[in-house]
Amino acid sequence: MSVSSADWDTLSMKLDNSIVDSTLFKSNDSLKEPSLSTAIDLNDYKIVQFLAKTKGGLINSNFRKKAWPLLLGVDMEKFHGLCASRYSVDWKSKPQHKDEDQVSLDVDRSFIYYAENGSDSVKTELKSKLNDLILRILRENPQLCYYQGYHDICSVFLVIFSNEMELCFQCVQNFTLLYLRDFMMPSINESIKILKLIPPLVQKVDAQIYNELLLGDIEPFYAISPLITLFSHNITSFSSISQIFDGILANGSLGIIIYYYISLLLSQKENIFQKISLMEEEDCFTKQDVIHDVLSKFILNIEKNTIEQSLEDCTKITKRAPLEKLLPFHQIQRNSVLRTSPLINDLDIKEIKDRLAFITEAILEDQVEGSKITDPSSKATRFSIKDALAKKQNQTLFKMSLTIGIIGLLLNIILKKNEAFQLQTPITQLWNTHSEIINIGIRPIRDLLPKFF
Amino acid sequence: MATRTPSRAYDSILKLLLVGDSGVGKSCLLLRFVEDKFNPSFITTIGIDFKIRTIEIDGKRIKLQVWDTAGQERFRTITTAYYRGATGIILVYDVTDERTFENVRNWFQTVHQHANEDTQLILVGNKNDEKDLRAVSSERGESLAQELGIPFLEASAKTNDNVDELFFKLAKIIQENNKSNENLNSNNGGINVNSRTESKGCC
Repeated sequence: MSVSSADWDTLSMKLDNSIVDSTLFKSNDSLKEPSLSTAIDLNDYKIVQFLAKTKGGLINSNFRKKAWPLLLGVDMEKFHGLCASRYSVDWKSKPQHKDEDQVSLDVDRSFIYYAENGSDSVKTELKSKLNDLILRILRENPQLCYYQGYHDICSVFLVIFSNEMELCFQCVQNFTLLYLRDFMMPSINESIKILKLIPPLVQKVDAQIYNELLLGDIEPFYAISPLITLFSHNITSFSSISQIFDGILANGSLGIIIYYYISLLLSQKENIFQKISLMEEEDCFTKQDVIHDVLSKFILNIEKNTIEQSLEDCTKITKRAPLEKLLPFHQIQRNSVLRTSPLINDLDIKEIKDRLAFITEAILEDQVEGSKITDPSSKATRFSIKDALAKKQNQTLFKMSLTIGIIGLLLNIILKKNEAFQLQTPITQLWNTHSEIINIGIRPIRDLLPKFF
Repeated sequence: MATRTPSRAYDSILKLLLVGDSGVGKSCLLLRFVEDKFNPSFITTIGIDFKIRTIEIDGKRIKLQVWDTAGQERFRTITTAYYRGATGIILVYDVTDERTFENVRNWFQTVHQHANEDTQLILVGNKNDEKDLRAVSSERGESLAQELGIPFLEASAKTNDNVDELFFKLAKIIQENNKSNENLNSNNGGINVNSRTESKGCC
């Protein structure tokens, strides 16, 4: 399939008007695929991040396998290097983690939604890998506490990275430290604090829902499972859950998950009202119970398309009601993921624009030369785009590659540092170190350089 | 007090709650009781939710609203908030897992801390079909129940052994308790839906 120059003209026009939004790639994966493929080849964090936010996210598992490590600051060169096995120091010989029995109970009940068509033997193998993955995360990060639902998140990574366990581990470890550590404190209280942001946020964006559903009166426990499993316990479609994970990685903040929840809630408003009045009529339970029931189950029945649309609509809410402005936000701990990596809406559009246009030009050149883009993942195509790009490579691009390289290096240094002291380090110290990693992930690298060099 | 339409299909509502260690089969007992299904790898319960089934005891239709809870200890902060509303609590352990049996005392204490004083408890040993794997004898179950002063049953969600019985037994005891309380208070007989405070909100 070739990319028509009309598409690129439209793209250029929109870029010129600074309307870089998700509509660009919505209906044209043939345009998105080569762009994504090139951006991944170039380790172009910002473009990958930008494309991950467009409708449909990172398209499929093949792209995710390459893009997620990039978005998580995993240094790919090490995996292509001589000695990948050096990483997997024998974790099995490390002391057991106190939560290992719980892990095994949950792993037994995993892969209910995903890999649903897999044979029994496939599932058995996945479960065994899932068990190893979680145990290794826990043994190598003994300060983290396992919670039921963490296994659901890990199972998404496993399906994506199926046969690349080492890479899977590195991704899950970074993901856990960057996004999930609040949920893995010794008590559930930090999770509850995050949960409590939901009612005031609903109040801001839709007062009717807030009032009718008595959200000021009932505990927001109806949302505990979507929150702490990032919907992987509630959304059965693998393509939808993958897109949600794309969105978290692209936004660089756990905060987006709260907005996704609200966005899905808004999309189901009428259904929810109807269901509640029906249940009240039939059952005569307390209204609070009925609301809890409906709110804890509504996500399970949402259509795939509606989920995609809600993810897209979410941007409007993030702009209208920042989490930091909500009253319960003051209760959130100093080193919470919500504080160390807040949701940032000010992507550098100008820079993205320049680079997208650059990729566009290269692809167009490719077309002119007659080598049509048939398979964006094929090596031949990627190399030809790369060659075209190489000709035009400017300094900005060089700087970006360097930046990504430095991010990887810094992450590695910090992770190693962490590995060295983790056995005797109190959790707060660990938290501080992790917040440095997050900062690297989301802030311009130049701000951090003086800190490390 | 508001009166519901005469077409109501039940005479009273009981709010029950299942508690016990993770993996003892709380959700499976509930699924068997409400939908008559069994799935050995039934999805983990995260947080708390409920299912409903209406049963008939002594000619009275009783709607059971049964809350199912996450077993992992860290979720207790959430689940204990629901203890107070329950008229009956089912303490479940797994007869093939000694530790879940030992933890019954902990659960019993937690229940006492958070539930109403008159909440009726019942002890249930699940998975009694697993003859070869049994680690806790019926006698030990029975004797612990006696010590705690609560009724006891062994059941199997898998083979549907004693599942209905346990819910019926608990509902019956609660109903009888209610009757004797009403007699004591010289209130008029019969259980009235509208007399239950937690049932009024939506009427």
